[in-house]
Amino acid sequence: MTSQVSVHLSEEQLDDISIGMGSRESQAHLKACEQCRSKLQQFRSDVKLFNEASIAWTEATPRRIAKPKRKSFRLPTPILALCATAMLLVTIGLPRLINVHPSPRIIPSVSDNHDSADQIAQDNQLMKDVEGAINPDEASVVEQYNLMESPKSRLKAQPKRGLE
Amino acid sequence: MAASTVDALGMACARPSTLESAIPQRRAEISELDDIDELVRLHQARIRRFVTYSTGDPDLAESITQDTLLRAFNGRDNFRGECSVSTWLTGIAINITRDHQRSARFKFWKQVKTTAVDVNEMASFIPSDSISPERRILAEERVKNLYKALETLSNNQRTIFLMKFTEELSVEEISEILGMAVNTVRTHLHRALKAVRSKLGAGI
Repeated sequence: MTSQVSVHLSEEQLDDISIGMGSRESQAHLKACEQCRSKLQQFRSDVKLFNEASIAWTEATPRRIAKPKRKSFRLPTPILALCATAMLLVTIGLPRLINVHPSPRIIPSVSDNHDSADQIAQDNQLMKDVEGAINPDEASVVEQYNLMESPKSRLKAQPKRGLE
Repeated sequence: MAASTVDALGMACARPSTLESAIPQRRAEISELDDIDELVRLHQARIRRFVTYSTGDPDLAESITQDTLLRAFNGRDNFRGECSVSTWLTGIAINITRDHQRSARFKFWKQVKTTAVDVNEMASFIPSDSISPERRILAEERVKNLYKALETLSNNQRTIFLMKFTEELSVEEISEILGMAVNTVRTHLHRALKAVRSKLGAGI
């Protein structure tokens, strides 16, 4: 090795070597030139010191990393309170506003609560659809209990109600 | 340029040279990703250092490091072992840092409050076993100067400088993680080195 080289690497060539993109000629020069090697070594030494000090500093001030949690959506309490109050007011106040002189409510008697045959058929179809949507592979409850038989025949099979 | 892929977290990874060489590494890294404590133990300090010196804000760095590790843990199924966990985490940290820097809230808080790195304290952490007390003073001075030089760089230059010289990534890996052309990365590095050289004075 000799330091008798008259033309040294430019800063750009040294930088290229630093970033790992030095040309073959630059690398060859570096092998022969102690001055250029020393420049490069000084930079590498500074970076090494910086890396050692910074990682030691970071490790010396450990921070706690929270364990992963499921994120839950939380509304601020005042907003919830306002919403609840508004719903309460609407629930209580609206019927009163609509029916200023409410007519006495007619409560249907149990005996009046006969489902029509069409209604029963509709309900059965709805149950079947819901069952099918929830458990597409399983046998429908409607089918399992043979609920799709003619509503009229089922009505006939039911015992007569007392108030009829 | 090395072949690369982009995973579901948007992270580009340089592929390992052979599939065979990747398999044992992949197995080790999968187990490392499955344990949040192990992930924290192995990578927290390094990621926090990178973000601290990239943003100059230790408090923000702590938050970003936490986000990075949690996001990596929650998205570990997306890691395909096509780069090291370390490179993958660096990419996630960079993305989160960019998101923070773009947000208006970050800009606001950056104006009113930034917790600076205590460079004197940091420089005092140079390992004492390697140098004499006299040289130590000089070394601390050089570390401080290097940090001050980093502070004067643009965000891109500083991030790329740290990726190259602190994270020891190749120019190709940096280019893939940042989605930047290799020549652009090289230009940023040249400018960063020039600025650092002017601060450090003698040496490079």
